[in-house]
Amino acid sequence: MIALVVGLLGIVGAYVGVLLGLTSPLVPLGMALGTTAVLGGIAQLAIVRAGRETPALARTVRWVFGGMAVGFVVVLLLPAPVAGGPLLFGLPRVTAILLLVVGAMPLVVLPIAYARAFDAEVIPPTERRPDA
Amino acid sequence: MREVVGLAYFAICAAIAVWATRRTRTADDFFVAGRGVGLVPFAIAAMASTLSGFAFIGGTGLVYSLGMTAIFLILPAGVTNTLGAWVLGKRMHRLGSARKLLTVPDALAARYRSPATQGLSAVAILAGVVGYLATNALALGVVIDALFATGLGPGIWIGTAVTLAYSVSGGILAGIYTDVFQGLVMAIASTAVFVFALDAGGGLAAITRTIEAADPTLLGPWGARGAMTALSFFFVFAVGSLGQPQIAHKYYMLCDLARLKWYPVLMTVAMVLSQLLLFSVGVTVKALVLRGEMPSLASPDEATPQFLLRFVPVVLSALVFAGVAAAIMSTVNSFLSIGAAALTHDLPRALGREPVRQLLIGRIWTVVIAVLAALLAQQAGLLVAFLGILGYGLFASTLVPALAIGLNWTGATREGALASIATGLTLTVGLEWLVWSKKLTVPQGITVTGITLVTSLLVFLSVSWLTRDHAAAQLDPDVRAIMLDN
Repeated sequence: MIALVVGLLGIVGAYVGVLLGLTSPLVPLGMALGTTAVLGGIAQLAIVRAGRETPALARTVRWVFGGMAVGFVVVLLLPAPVAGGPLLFGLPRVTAILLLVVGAMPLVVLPIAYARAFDAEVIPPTERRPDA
Repeated sequence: MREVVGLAYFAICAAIAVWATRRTRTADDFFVAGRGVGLVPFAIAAMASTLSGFAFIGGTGLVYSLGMTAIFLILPAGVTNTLGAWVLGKRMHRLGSARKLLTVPDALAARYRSPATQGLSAVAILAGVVGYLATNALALGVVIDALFATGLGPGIWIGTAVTLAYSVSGGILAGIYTDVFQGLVMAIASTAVFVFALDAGGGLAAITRTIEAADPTLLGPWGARGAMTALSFFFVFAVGSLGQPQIAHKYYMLCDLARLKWYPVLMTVAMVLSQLLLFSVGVTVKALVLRGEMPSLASPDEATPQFLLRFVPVVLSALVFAGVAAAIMSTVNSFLSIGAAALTHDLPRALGREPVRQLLIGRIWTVVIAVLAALLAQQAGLLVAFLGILGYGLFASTLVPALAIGLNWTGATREGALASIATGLTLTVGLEWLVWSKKLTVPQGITVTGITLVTSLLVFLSVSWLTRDHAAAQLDPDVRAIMLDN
């Protein structure tokens, strides 16, 4: 819940920065970190079972959303690509890094982590009733 | 050839509809597919109803003109495909089974013991549904006109009639199984065009070199509109996806909760394949125009049709047109179902009346909503554009707080839910109207949906905190047990 509230305040701060015409790099940084905190906060709320955190899914949330936040920060701090610069997978290197860390990494890790943790942490076989 | 493929496509949809209609006997069948949908149809139908014609036409146009900024509309899929199951899947399914729920507002009424929450969320859903349907009816008219040269007006009515035929007879049951066929058409068409697009551009590296020579920002990490716009899109489409009722209410339909295990994997594969066209055609056409191998486009939305006409075999281009029709029709069917359910089921309940003859009345409302959307699409001109931008933002700002967070946080209160739904509804309609009528300019980097979503979330959390003494008393024991997995 703390991550969710702090994340929302980060997004509000970024929007206020845009409205005030600020050009500081802190403005998109607030938006990026705020968004990953909100997503991580919502995911974290959903993996609590009987008042306790489920360990494998909690680790996944921390690594995936933490990794996305780091990816956003790194790309915001790197210089913008120039014509003729290095390519990675056919795209400017910085763009490819962003797509890999923010797009491909959660795309692959989250569904697999969810499936792997399903029987132990999401719906254990003992909870599977015919009507549920 | 296009006419033959188009006719074959509509014939298969009709055959599925006839099959499904024979199996639609109750309101449960009509609104939640008898709660008997297996994993594969469930995942493909969820993908098909998520993607509208935007993935094939408007999206490629945005990639063509904004470059990487537009990719941030689809990039959240990496998170949302799993987050939906994670946040909503289990609890929606269990709540639906335990209470025999039919709709998303039903879940809110059960969660907060509040008919008012059900009524207010149904009003928000109806407003969003009408907007979505009007724009999709217009888009379907454009596609049918392109396939059969019917003219736009008749195209709108033919498209509406075909979708209505299976929606009204077979309800969501027919919708799910036509979605499976339509989703497969979308995925196959998108994947095949992806191969042709990269080949026509000489490979991704050659495409990149051409584009960055003209404008290095387009394929830079944030695209033409910069980091704030890209990140705003990411926030809106990642968090907002948790409030889309056409997906959320599908969790009631899964035959067995254990099948949820592989849903994110399947949904992810289907979604990735269906979105390959959006990126590849957008950047390829940009490079080809810059090289002078294609004439400049009259409008960015011409990117897909012009590419299909010049670089793709006619059978495949016909399949893509069928894919566009499929994407639109599957979305329309889902929205008809939730719109009819809001009128048949949610609003009477909110007003204290038990719904009666829901199958018959649901069918009647389906017809009424579809005809209203077709009339709006045909006659309202610019109003359609306004209605179209309302839908997603309304669902996001009214349903994400109360539903996605409320189902996972026992501290949420009825007052918080009502305040956030009312805030999302009024702020979205008000701000979008002011922006559309040019009475308000939103600076680049901010989206109206971003403002309304973050505001309704903060209202939800703060009002719930202020009224936290009521939280425990507003939770029925069975709902509490489902929320806490006890």
